[in-house]
Amino acid sequence: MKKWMCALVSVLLAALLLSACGSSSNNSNGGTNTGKQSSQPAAGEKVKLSIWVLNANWDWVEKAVEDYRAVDPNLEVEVTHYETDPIKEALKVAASSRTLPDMWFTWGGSLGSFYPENGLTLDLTQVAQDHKWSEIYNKAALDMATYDGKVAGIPIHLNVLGMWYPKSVFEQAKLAPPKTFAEFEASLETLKQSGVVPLAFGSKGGWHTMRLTEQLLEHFAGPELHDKLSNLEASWNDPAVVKTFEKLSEYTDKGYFPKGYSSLDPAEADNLIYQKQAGMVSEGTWFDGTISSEGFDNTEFDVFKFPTDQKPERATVFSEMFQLNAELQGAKKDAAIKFGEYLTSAEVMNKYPGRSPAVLNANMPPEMPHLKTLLDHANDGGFLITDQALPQEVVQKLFEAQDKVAFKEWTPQQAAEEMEKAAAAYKAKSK
Amino acid sequence: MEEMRLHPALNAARYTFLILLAALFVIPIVFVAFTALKTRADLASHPFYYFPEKIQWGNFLKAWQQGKMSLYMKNTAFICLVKVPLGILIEALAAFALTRLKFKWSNGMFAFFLVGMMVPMQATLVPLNIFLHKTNLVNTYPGLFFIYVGFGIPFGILILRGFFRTIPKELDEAALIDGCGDFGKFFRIIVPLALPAIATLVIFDFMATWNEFLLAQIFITDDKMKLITTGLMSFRGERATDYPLLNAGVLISIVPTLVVYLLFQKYFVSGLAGSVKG
Repeated sequence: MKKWMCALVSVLLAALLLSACGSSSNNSNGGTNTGKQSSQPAAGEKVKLSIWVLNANWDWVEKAVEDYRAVDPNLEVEVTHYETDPIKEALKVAASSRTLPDMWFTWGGSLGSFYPENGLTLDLTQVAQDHKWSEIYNKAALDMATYDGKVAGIPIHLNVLGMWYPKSVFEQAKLAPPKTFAEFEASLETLKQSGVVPLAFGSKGGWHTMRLTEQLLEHFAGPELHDKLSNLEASWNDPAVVKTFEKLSEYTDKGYFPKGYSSLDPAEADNLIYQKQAGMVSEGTWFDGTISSEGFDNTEFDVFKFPTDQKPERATVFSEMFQLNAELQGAKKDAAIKFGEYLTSAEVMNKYPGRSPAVLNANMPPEMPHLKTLLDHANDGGFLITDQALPQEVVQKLFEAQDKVAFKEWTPQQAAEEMEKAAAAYKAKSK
Repeated sequence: MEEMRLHPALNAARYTFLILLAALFVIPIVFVAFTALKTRADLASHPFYYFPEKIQWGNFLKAWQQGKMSLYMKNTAFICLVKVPLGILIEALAAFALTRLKFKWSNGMFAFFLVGMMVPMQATLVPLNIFLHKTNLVNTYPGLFFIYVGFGIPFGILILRGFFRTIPKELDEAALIDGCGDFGKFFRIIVPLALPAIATLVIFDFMATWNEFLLAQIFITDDKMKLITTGLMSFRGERATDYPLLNAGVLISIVPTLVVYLLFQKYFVSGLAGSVKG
């Protein structure tokens, strides 16, 4: 009995193991074809590419892959969709275990820099020169796909942020979009008097309020110092930083933010805008789509550029791109570059609109009435959104500083000092 | 046993306390239900605790269809139906060996199993990813079974070992006299007596497997193979979330765990009590 049972259990376990290994061979994941095992086909042979993209509103990729068959029938593309946070996690895990796919979607700045910094992406500098990318893509988008002078990605989206407001709220308060910082501050008071929340920011997670903080910093520090602060080349313990935090504290005291905004979810803060109970919020090129998908009419809203009183008057921008695996070679590499250029082309952007293209000469979709205005805001130049510009450790300190200044746990001076400490700690660690 | 009679005032206080405690648990579910029955515009225009302007029963159907919930629930049910019995069988065999077979270091081995409970899942993602890629098990259910069973073993052994120890050794001796071998003892004596503990474990294990998200999102990327937790994420966009459909989906997704709990609940308390006493 005993031996018989042992034998049965062993056979069952062995069968399970074998079935596992067998079933996986024709079911391999998108992230398996990198490294030394990947075969590099010669020209003319079938090429298989794996690509990781986002999930919501990214079903156009499959359609574009279908369209692309007419261009290159030999290319087979395996698309894997991830949600926003899971793609960040999956990419980090794949990078650590050297199982990255052939191409992947990523944001720019410090989220996307991890891969080129660790030698995991293809250097596209020569390709960008040969294929004249500077004439094809928006300069700001291309700059944000460039790390240490090397092009590390094919830009797909350029997002520009501005101050969105419900037209009716401004009309009721007899306000026009402010042209100067003084006008901006005056409009906050007017909005408050008219019974709405002037600034619809929710600090849960930190990044929403950060969009205001970075504009205040641009106003007080000016473009040059702001860039130096973002690159950790200047001390954060600077009067401009102190003034920025002072303003946050002042706006909190004056009740310009929603009640309990430190723990308010950004989506709930945006709700105040949809409901026309708030005056303005910093949102980006995607907001036309967000307003519509929430069931509201986006033509009832408008957007203005935050008046920083600086020359040039820059807008907050960030880009999104496709990065390519550093281990691609030969025909597979060429096919991946060509396919990446196709996915980001004006042709695909026009056929599958609703996004903010990084490519020049794409049509402006009618369902995004504010897209052109926002893209024009970046004509004077842009600065990279703070949570992509700063290292993540320093970003977290900024979020903490925003909250503690609001709660009066830190004075603006202390907040600036803490920021400088975090920046110094990061620099010491990365030396 | 005669119930202790309480002063009416004390009884009222007791009930008030219990009602408040129940409300604490029920209120979040009520708000989830409210959200599930609203339109996005309704949710955006009114506070979340408001009753829906117009009840949207259609949200459940939409969530079911748009979220491909039948497919994802079928996938998750398959995982649970294989993983839970397989895991409990392995855990019970191990607990049996630890409590009934006399061997050196049995306590040390039990402690070794418990160490598994202290390893954070996140810390194992990279080695597991390398392992699954090398064995071609990424994006396969068997790959997920191995990991799920592995992570379930420490807790299962903890519960079952405790319960098995409460079963008198004399029963083993009687079984031995009647001609039972070790497997006979296990299947004919221990398992039937340990049913409350096993039922408790079924509830815990089913819930843990049904709700598992982290490993499923990393190792199952094929859309057709996704599980319910990762499938529900499709209602979350890059910058906007369809909260009504997400909440409708969440309500649908908890039905199987509720059914399993109701089926096994009568054993639940005695199973837990036995395992802790041991």
